[in-house]
Amino acid sequence: MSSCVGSRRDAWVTSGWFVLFAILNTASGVCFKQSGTDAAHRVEYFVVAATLGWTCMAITMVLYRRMNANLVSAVNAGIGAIALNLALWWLFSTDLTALQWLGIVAAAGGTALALVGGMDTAARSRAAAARGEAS
Amino acid sequence: MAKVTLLLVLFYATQVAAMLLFKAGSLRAGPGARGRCLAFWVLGNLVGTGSVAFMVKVYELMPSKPNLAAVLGTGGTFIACQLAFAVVFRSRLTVRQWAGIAIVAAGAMLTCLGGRR
Repeated sequence: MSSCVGSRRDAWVTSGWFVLFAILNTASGVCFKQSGTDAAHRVEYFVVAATLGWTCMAITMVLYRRMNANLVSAVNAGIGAIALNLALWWLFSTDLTALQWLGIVAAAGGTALALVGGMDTAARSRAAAARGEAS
Repeated sequence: MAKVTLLLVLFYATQVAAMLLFKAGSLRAGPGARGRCLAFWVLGNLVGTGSVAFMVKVYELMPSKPNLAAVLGTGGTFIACQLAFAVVFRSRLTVRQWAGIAIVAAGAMLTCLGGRR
C-alpha cells in the first residue's frame, strides 16, 4: 500500500513539474515573440525570454531524474506545442488554421499515448515483483 | 540547398549535444553532484543558445518558407534527440510509447507547417 501511495504522490509531483515547464516555456515563447515585434522593449523581452528558457532546462533536468529521457522530451515537446499555440491564439487573436488545430490535437493524443503506453508493462513488472516477494 | 542542409545538420548536432549535456548533468553521482549538475546546466544552455545562430541563418536562406524552416528545425531536432537518447541511454520503450512520440512529432510539425503565410 505504501508503495502505491508513494508512486501516486510521485506521479502528482512529476505532473506538477510538467505543468510548470509548460507555463514557463509558454511565457518564454510569448516573450521571444514580443522581442521580435515590440521594438521599444526588444532587449528586455529577450532577456526575460532567455532567462525563462534556461529555467525550463533546469526543470527538464529534474524531470530526467524522474522519467525516461525520451518520454520527458516527447511530453515537453507535446505540451509545449499545445500551450504556446493556444497562448498565441488567445493573447494575440491569432487565427489558427485547421492544420494547426489538427497538430494540437495530434500533439495531445501523442503525449497521452506516450505516457500511458508503458503502464501495462510497469503494472506487470510490479505484479511479478510482488509475486516474487510473496513466494 | 547544400548550405541549408549543412546548417541544419550543425543545428541538430548542437541541439543534441545540449540535450545530452542536460541529461548527463541529471545523472545521480556521489560527492559534488550539485556542482556537476550546475556546470552541465550552464554548459548545455550555452551550447543550446549558440545553436540558434545556425537556425537564424537557415531562416535567412529560406525567406519565403519560414514555416518549412520551422518544421525542419523543430521536427528534425526532436527526432535527432529521440534517436540520440535511444542509442546513448539504451531506452526501452514500448511500441505504443514510440507511436506516441511519433504522433507528438507529427503534431508539432503540423502546428508549424499549418500556419498562415
